[in-house]
Amino acid sequence: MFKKIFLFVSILLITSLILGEAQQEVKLVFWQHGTGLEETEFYRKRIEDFNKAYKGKINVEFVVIERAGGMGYEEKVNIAAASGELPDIMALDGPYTAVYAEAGILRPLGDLIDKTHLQDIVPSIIKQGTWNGKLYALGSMESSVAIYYNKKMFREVGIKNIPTSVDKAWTWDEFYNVCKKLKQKYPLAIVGLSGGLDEWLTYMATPFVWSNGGDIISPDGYKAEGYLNSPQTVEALTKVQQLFKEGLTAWDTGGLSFEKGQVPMMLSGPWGAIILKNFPEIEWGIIPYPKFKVHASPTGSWQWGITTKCKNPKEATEVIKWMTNADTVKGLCKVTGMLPTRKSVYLAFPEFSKLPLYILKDQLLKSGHPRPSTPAYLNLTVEFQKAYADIMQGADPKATLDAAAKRVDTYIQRQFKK
Amino acid sequence: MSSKKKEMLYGYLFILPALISLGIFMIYPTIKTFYYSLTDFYMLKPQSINFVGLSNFKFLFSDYTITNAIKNTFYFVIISVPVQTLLALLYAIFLNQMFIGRSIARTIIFSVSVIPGVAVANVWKMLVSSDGYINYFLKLLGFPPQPFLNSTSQAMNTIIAMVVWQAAAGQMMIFLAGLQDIPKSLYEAAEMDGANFLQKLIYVTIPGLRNIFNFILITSTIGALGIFTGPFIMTAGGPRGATETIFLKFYQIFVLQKDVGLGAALILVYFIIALILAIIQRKFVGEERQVVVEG
Repeated sequence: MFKKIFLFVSILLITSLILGEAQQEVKLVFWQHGTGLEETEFYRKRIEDFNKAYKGKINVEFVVIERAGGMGYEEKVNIAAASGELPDIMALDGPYTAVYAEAGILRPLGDLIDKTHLQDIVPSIIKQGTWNGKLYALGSMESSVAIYYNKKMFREVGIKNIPTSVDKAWTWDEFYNVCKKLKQKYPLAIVGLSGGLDEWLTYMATPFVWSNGGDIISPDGYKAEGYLNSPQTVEALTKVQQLFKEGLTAWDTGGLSFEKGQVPMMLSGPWGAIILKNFPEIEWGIIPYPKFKVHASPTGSWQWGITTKCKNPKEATEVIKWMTNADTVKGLCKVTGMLPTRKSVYLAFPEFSKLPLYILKDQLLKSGHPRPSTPAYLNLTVEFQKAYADIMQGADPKATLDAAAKRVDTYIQRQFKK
Repeated sequence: MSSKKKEMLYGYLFILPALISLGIFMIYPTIKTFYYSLTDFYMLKPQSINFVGLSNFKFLFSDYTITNAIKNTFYFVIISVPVQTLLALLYAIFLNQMFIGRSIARTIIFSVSVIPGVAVANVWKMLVSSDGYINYFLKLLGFPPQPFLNSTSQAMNTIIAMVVWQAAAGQMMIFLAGLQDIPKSLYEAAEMDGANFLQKLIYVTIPGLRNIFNFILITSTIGALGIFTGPFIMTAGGPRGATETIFLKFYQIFVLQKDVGLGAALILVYFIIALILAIIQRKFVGEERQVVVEG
């Protein structure tokens, strides 16, 4: 009898050991939006390396979801949120932080991630991933937009005092005078201030507003009246409108381009430098955004967060830490040409320490301003884009922004009862 | 069970699959849309859907951008439907004549209608852009360049021109089939009575195409009310809202801003407009008629 019990207990013990061992490997699902081929392959490789490093403990399934010409990835996230089929970890665009956090899709990282991991990260990334005082997401690359200029064309017109850092940035009036001077010789002074109705308009144009001391939404993210139509916002966009009115730039640039050497200035991000490699005959440099009162420049990029559906947030945090450590940041920025989100990693990128690309890094560290953190971002950005487009095509700035602010507030009232 | 009852049962069984799919894919979503239009459903928060009465509809009609979109859509329908129908009829009459190269001409004109709308819109966008071919030829002929898509007064008309150009090509085929259905004996009788080309057109051709007219007017009106691709690709609703349409606004509210309640309310407004127009047209053009020819 005793023998039998002993046998039974030992079988039980062995089975539980085997099962326990198998259960210890935590399985996580990781969603990445489809991007450039090389970039996606880089993510896949990093996840493979993670699985090797954490063998027996954590296993991550890497899933790429195509954007299908625009909103495919976001649609998939919506449907998954509604049907309770969210992954454990997901990629999201910068301004979606508050939207997803408020909707209960993301869980805060704050209590799981140690401070030492965050120390080295640029402030714009922390700000972008934060809503309501809590950190929800982290990313490994950053962006900035600055003015690319044609050195030869600047020489021909005799433009001097070209700024070499954010501290020496032109004021708006100085920039305006340069535009006027360039217009005397060239069909347009600058391109890049227009585009289709998409995120570019919000991303590129909001720094003009912040630079003038204005904003597009209240700090808590729930009120547009008094911000989107504040006197500072109206003034900033009226000044940008002047460039259009006086033909210094145009909404439809009629195929005129910086790359072909027809226009002396263009607004563009780090990708501008990559494109310009195909145009070796253009001798170009970069100057910072002009400033109104304080300097402000665009930032923002995709990042990763943990969903509320994740049952193993501790293990998921390990994945986020891995995807935002120095090795990942270094590898990713080598592949994409974007700005590293870790200050220490800049040592591996000497090109960002000297002109022209230095300007992008200088802007990011000194004046980088992510888009606002608000649950109403989806509505706000569409209304801002439309208002900006209308104003630059001749609409009255004050009336347009008043109407836009009212619409945003109606929406906030409907969805968030604020 | 009597054989008649059995037959009826079989009949119902045969239409059952169609009824089920109709129920799942048409009737159920329609009822759901009615329901959602009375709620504040926000796509990211399916757990909290509140009944808000008619406030969505009140908001729709108080928002200038939406009433403007409805107005633009009406303008588009009122201009594009008659013009494209007339053009299609002219194409069909022309291509119904006997001449050398008729099949080639038919193929060329019809081929326009099989190009995807997105491709057409992109090609036209290039053609009418400020540095496009049309402005290039205008300059050669000594005319000033036109701002087509950048002018609040020209943008919608440019889109109408594109849609008419493409839609007329497809409708031409239907008219052509209708023309060939008109009995030759009617024309012979008219000729005997000394009718000329115009009289034959007014007294034989057009009455003979009555059913076709009815069909084309209703389908093209409903199609035109749903105008989206052209403005979406060519102008994104601009400049300054001049080409904003109901469906473009729906895309903004439903897809971009994820406001299901407001989106459902807007689509119901669209549905009611389409229904009213269809009823008016049926009354105006009249019931379908059979042309009976005794031979």
